[in-house]
Formats: sequence, C-alpha cells, structure tokens
Amino acid sequence: MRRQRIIGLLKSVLVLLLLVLLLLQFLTYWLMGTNIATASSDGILRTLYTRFHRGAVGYEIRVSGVSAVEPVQVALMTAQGGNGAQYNKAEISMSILALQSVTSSAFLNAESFSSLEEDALLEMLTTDDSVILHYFYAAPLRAIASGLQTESSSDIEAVSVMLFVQEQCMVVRDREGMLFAADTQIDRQTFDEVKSEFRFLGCQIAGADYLVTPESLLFEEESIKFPVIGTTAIDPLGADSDASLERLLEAFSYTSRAGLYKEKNDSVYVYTDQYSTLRLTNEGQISFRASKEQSTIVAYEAGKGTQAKVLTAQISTAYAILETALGAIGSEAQPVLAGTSQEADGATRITFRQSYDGVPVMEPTEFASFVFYDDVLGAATVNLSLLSVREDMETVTVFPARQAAASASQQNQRMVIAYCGTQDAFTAQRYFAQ
Amino acid sequence: MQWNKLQNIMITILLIVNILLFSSLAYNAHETAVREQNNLKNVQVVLARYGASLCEDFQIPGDAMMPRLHVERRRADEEAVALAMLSEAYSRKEEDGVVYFESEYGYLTWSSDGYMEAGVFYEDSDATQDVGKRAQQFFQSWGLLPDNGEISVIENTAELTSPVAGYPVFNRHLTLFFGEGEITLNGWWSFDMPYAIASEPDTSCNASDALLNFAAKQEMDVGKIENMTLGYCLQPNGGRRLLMSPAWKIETTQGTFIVDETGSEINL
Repeated sequence: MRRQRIIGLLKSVLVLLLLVLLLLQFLTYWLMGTNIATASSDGILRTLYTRFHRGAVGYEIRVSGVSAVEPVQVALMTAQGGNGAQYNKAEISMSILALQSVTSSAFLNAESFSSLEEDALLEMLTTDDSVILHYFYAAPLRAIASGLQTESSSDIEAVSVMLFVQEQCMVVRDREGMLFAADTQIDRQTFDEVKSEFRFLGCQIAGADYLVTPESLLFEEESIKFPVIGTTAIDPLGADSDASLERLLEAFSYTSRAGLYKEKNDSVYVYTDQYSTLRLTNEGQISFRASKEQSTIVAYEAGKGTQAKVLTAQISTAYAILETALGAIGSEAQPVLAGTSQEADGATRITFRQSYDGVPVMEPTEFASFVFYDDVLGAATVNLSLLSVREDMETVTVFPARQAAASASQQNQRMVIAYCGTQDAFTAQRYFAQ
Repeated sequence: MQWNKLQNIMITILLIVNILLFSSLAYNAHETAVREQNNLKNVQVVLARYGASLCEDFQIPGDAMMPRLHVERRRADEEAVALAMLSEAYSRKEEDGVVYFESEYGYLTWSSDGYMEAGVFYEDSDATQDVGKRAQQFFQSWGLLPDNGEISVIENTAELTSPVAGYPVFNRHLTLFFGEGEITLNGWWSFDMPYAIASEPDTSCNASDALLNFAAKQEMDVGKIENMTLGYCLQPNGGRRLLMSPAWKIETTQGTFIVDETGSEINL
C-alpha cells in the first residue's frame, strides 16, 4: 500500500516535470520563430529582450530622439479606405516608424518641385493610394525629412506632405496654401507590405465634399478626449526648488564653476565665461548671448557640414538644449519647431513652442528662440514653464472632425487641434488655422 | 486505481510530445550547424577571390540586432576630472568646442568628439607597486573609473576600457603612461549614460556580409583573418552629441580594422 503511494507520488512529480519541460520547449520554439526586430518597441517581448539579452544594461531607452518636427496626423490611404494616427505622441511615433521604408525613398528622390493645381491633387487623392502627413506648424521640407530619419534638398515650408504611389509623386502644401509637386520613387511592393501591417484608426479624406483642404483627414468614430493642462510657476534659483540648476547650466554648456554674479536681490543669476553670458531669472527666463565668431555651443564642425545639413544641425542643437532644460525642471512637455527665418545679417532664427503628448500648446508667450551664425549659437531665449495635467478638471472632448469640416466657411481651410486658453487652464480645441 | 491509469496515460502522452518536440529542436539545431558550416565554406571561397583567407579555428559570429546608442557630452564631468587632476587653482579656456585646463600640476584638454589629452606631474613615491594597481588608483581618484572598467597593462602603460551593453567600444579607451615624473593620458571617453531611441530601428549586423564587403573593398592584401568581434564605435554626432554605432573589429595578419555593419572601414 505504502509502495503504491510512493509510486503514485513519483508519477505525479514526473507528470509535473514533463509539463514544465513541454512548456520550456514550446517557449524555445516560439522564441526561435520570433523576429525581435519587428516586435513592438513598447511590448513586453521587446522590453524583456532589451533587459536581459546579453545583459543589455548600461544604456537606457528613450521614447524620442531629436525629432523637433513631428506630424500631428499620419495616414495611409487606399481604395479600401484609410488608416491613421493623430494627436498622440506614441501612436504618431509608431506610425512614422511603420512608414519609414516608404517615406525614406520618397523624400530622397523628390528633387525638383513645380506648382500643382487643386483639381490635379483632388484627382490623385480620389484615385491613387497615398501616404498623408499633416503638420501643425509649417516647417522646411529638409527639417521634416530629418524628423522622418531621411533627407530632402528642398526648403519649401510645408504643412502637409502627400506621397502618391501610382503617380510616383510627392505633393506638398506650403504655409500659404500653395501646392507643389515633384516626381519621386515609391516602391509598390514596399507600400503593400507596409499597408498590410499598418493598423491604426479608420479615416477618410475630406475630398470635394467640404470646404476644408481636400487632403484633410476625417477620422471615423472619432471621440478624442484630452485632459486640461495648466502651467506651474518654477523658480530654478530657489534652494528648495525641484528644478536642477546644474542641468539647466549643462543645457547651455555651463557648469556651476563658471563665473557668477547676482542681480536684483538674487532674483537673477548671471553666469559668464570667455565668450558668452547666461542669465537666469527666478521666473524661469533664460537668456544666452555669445559672440558671433566664438561660442561654447557649436551646431556642427565648421567646414565639415554640408550646406544641406546646416539647418538640421542647428535645429538638432537647439532641440537638444531645450530637451535638457525641460528635463531639468521635470517637465513632460516636448519642444516642437514652430518656425525658421533668415535675419538681415545672415543669421538663422529658429523658434520653438511646446507640445503636450503630441498636441501643440498655444502659450501666450513664445517658448524659445535661437539665433545661429552658421555653426555658432549667438543668442537664445527660453521661457520655461512647467506644463502639467490639471487633475481637478475633467477631460474635454474636441469637436468631431466631420462636423467641424461641415462648418468651414472658406475654401481650403485647414483644421487643427491645439491647447488654447490662459496659463491656468489650456483646453484642447479644434479650429481652422490661418 | 482510476487515477493511476490516468497518470500512466498522461505520462505516455507527455513523453511522446516531449520527445517529438525535442527531436524537432535537435533537428533544427543540426540544420543550423550545417548551414553555418556551409556558410563558412562559401565565405572562404568568396574570400579566396579577394586574396584573403580564414584561420583554421575561425568561427563566423552570429547575427545580431544592435541599437544605435547616443551619448551627451558632459561638461560638468569633464570639469570634475580637471578639478581632481589639476586641483582648484586651474585656468580654463575654450576654443571651437575644445576646452583647455591648466595649472601648476599639469594640463588637460577635452574635445567635442570625446578625445582627451592630459599630462600631470607627479612624484613616483612607490615605483615598485604594480602598474595596474597604480593606474587603477589614478583613474579612480580622477573619477574616470566606471564600475565595469577594465584595465590592461603593457610595461609602463595601462589602458582603461569599459564595455557598453555587454559589447566592447573599440575606440573608447584611455591610455595612461607612467613617464619620468609625469603621467600622460589620452584617448576617447564619454561619461553620460548612453541611450537608444525607441523609434529608431535596430541595426542588423550580419558577420558574413560585413566580412565579404570588407574584403571586396580592401585595395591592399588583408592576409589571413584571425578574429571578428562585434561591438560599438564612438563617433562625433554633431553639436554636443556622440554616437555609438555598431561595428565589427576584424583582426588579420596584416592589421586590425574597424568596419561598420556594411563592411565599410571606419577611419578612427
């Protein structure tokens, strides 16, 4: 009897062992057939892989790199309908990544642009497969390309970029609403492969049914909700401040050992070094000045940067400074390129606004501006403010796109969503951009 | 009695499924080994056309997906090293992104591409002590020794390296030389924690492709290929950023070459 009980126990243990062995073998099988490179970057498999594979510690994973120019809407359109993402940083990043093989060759091969009629665009939109990217702020095409990890030789300041597969054509709408087109190369097979994997929200183009621009995207079953956000005052100079003064200085290549004198009852700190001056106020205003010839901050190695890459190097340098500064105050907002212009003395002025989780914030004051003299950063002004969600206020649903499009009163109006309001409360609103 | 029978049936079924699965896995492993052997033979044939060959014990490394890593230049850390090395009373000047520190104890320069060079006067109070230990003490006191730092010694010279994510960074090392009353130090270094960007696709590193492209592009005779290692290469990335890009180190009888994932040589 006892012997039988022992045999029974051993059999149970054996069954358990065989089950564990079976599970392990299934796991091995599954991992052997999985391509880690195509796994979602925020998925559990990828997280485990990066955490344990070859002891992959010693580096961290950041959500964004230097992508000062990101679209607010991305869509892939076919005869069966459209699919896309809008006003959500994570989804926009994923959609850009998914479309990279299509956008790369399209931007690289689009060289000479000529003007295009609205009717021609409408016909292409209704008959051809396409990729549509909408930007909140107009940005030079070469900066847009940089944000998509590719290159362009054009300086057209675009608010919309459309890539047509059948026509092998890139169409851009500039800040004035004018259309330009260029021949390019988009591989049909690559497009079809991307299409089969591209799964976001269903959408359609406005076409000729509404007064808004025909390429406007109308998302189906749209009910997008956004939290209300507000600004909190920060005092980077305060002893008990959450902001890291050292990191703020680091953003402008200063250290706490730089020469310092204080003004206005210690409410302004002025740091100086050989060529530049950095002013910080207790209200979060930062002002940097350097000589035109020499600066502690250079965007690229003079003589080595090709003319085509100068602007993107300047934008990337300014963006890195802002990213560090926002990190120093613990902000979750992102800097977003709002404009570039050439000054009378040949300098390049680059301005930035903030966006919160992919939605631009229309603050009353300009967030930041940078003046570059070729490779040298000559001046910078940053108005730091800490944007955060107002937990005491309910989320707001924006006016649906179809109803908004139907209410357009002028031809070719552009629909956008942005946080508008006062410093206390910014609410997301849909409106027609000028 | 019923339970006993059920156990027997379960054990039999599980054994059969396990054996089948194991056979399949073993078959796959065998197939992979055969494929690798064939691949090695094919690579040898193609390499022979370019006048190169493989050492007898050469194994082609496995494929890997590597993230590109970004690193920020850290002025505060550079200045902290200067403070530890040259004491409080140093002078500092900057030109074209290169920072010069100088004091009565020596000098130190940091370039924007991560290259540093230093010379420090010192009294050799304990010359009998092991070079490696002395070097470790200096690196530690200057704030240059990371937790995973590795020091190798050749005569009076010590070299500090530090792997990233388990891989070597081929050109990120500091060479310390003990001279007559002076220590010299030079090499490429970075301080900040490297980071990968989630939206950037990983780089596919295929050893066979890189090796064949490397041999095809070489104008000189590369001789016998002895070893091939996957790692990173530190490069300037514009502005204040450095980039660690995936690279292969190919050791041949004619010298050592660092190539990118496509097999193009990286001139360091």
